[in-house]
Amino acid sequence: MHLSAARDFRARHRRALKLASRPTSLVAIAGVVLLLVAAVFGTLIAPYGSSKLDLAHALQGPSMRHFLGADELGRDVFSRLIAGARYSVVSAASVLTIALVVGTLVGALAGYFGHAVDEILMRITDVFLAFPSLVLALAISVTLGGGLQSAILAIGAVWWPSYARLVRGQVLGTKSNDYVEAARALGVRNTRLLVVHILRNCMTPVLVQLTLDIGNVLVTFAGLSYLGLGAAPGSPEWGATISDGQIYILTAWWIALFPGLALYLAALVLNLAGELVGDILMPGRSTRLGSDAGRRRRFGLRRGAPAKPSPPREALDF
Amino acid sequence: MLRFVTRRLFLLVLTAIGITLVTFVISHVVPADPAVLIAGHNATEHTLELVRHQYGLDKPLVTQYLDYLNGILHGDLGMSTYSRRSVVTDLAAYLPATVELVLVAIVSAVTIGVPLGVVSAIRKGGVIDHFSRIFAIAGSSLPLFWLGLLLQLVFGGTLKILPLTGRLSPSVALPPKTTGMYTIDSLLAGQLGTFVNALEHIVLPAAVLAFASLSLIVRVTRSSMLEVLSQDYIRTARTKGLSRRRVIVRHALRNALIAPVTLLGLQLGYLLSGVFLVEVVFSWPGIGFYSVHAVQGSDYVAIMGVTLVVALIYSTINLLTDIAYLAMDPRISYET
Repeated sequence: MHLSAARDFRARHRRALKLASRPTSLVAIAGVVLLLVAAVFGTLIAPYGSSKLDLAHALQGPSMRHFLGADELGRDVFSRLIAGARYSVVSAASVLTIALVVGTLVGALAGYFGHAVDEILMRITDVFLAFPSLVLALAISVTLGGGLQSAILAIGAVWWPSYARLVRGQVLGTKSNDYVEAARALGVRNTRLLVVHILRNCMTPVLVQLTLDIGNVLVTFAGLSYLGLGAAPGSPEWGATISDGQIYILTAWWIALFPGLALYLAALVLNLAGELVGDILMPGRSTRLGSDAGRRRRFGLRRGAPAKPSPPREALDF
Repeated sequence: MLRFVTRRLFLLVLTAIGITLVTFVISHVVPADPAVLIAGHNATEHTLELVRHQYGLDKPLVTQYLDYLNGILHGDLGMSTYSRRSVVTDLAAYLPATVELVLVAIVSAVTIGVPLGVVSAIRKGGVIDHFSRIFAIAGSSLPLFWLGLLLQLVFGGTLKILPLTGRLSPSVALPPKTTGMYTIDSLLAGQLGTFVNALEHIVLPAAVLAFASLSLIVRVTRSSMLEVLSQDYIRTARTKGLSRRRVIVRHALRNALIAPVTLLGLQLGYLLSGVFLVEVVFSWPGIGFYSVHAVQGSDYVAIMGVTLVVALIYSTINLLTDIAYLAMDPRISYET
């Protein structure tokens, strides 16, 4: 038994390595590493500081002195770009932590206890999902004051419902397993049962969802900053610099366009990396949106047995 | 079918109440002192007291909520502190522009995306298929506001063939107000000059909005079409001697199009969020533009009003999409 377990482990590793050596995956991994390096070591790499003024060369295009140009106050666009990476990475991580913790809590409680608890928690989740995400994030952010922390809390408040739904589904699927019954029969308490036995075994889809979401959270946060909420105007955060540079779009396009390009590329590599993680951890996961599972969920048929393949309509036309 | 519709309508009412509860909690319960939010941070204690009394903030929370609900049911969303008009009047003025933009975006995305997805599936592995796949990956991570700026630069700045901002050039005559949508109104009134000008202004913002949906629509249509084409009844039809074209158009398409239709409902939420950003980039005077300026002017009442209305519209359209889905896929009605 030990031998086959070890062989299995090596086989999975080999498969993961094979998936990771595809060209798109390599690009994704390289991109994510670059992003993290910029976020952590930014201050060491950037040629100038993010707020070092150089008014003599204000609004100059890309040159030897300023690799990606200078903004209206002469600050180096490239250095500010690198400084902005930290904002993005930290905010995205904070948002997803909030979403994960709250979502898992709500979903696990709803799935485990069922009945009234489930109904109430899921109704609350559904109501949050009735708002378009940016609109709700805007409203919450303004209420909380409109700064960086407000934006993080606001986006977190908008993001947790999808995790709640996911965890709930997973818990529902796992709690009827034999080993859970066995543990309960042995006298394991509810909380310990839930956390140790059930949750630990159903976090894989959550992890995959997390990696897929990082890119989108990044862009959403930058969007809020662009609208004036989130990072303060003047900070090197990408959304804020785009907003600041917008008036110069025809004359000094590098101020707004390069941070935007950085944002786009960061989101792209993060999404690709997320797909890679998904392929490694959950091979054969369905990403179709018109699938049967989606259809049943939307029409409240979740308690029914899996649908038998009914005769397709067209067969009767002949 | 009727039972399903009634049940969903009932759920819609419940959702609407839930939406009002959430907006109420955000505006009245979450802030430490709602009066400060309305009157501003520099207001004196005296002003705050007046504001509290005027807005009923000194009453118990339940009464406040019931007053709030009562106001909504009578079409009163409060008074905008910035524009000094009722929020409902403001929304009525700004909403048609947003509707026009979203409509043009959806129509464009569907008319381009669905055929592209179908062709991708039929000629799997071909040039169009590869192009669509790359397009889909590239499009899914694209920040809308950046794309908007890029297009402004290219088409408005370098090529100078399209205007940068707004709905109409200042020198062009306004069309008569029938729907509030300049393209439709000018067409109905026969003002072709205005129509062309309005089109020129709407092309870029709508293209940006449509772009993100486009990649997803293409991808979903493609996979849905591929799934349908692999079904037995399609193979039977071909074996019976029906031409490829007939099989695709008459048999496969009807079933394959169900998935993209459902998608539209989901996409609408994304579009309603995106339209806020696009309107700011292009200074398009819709409700997104309105609420962002409300944010800058600390017009709190207006922001909550917009949030409420947008959420209600979104939920209603989701209901309509579900009903449309029901009408298109009879398997659902057999099971419901």
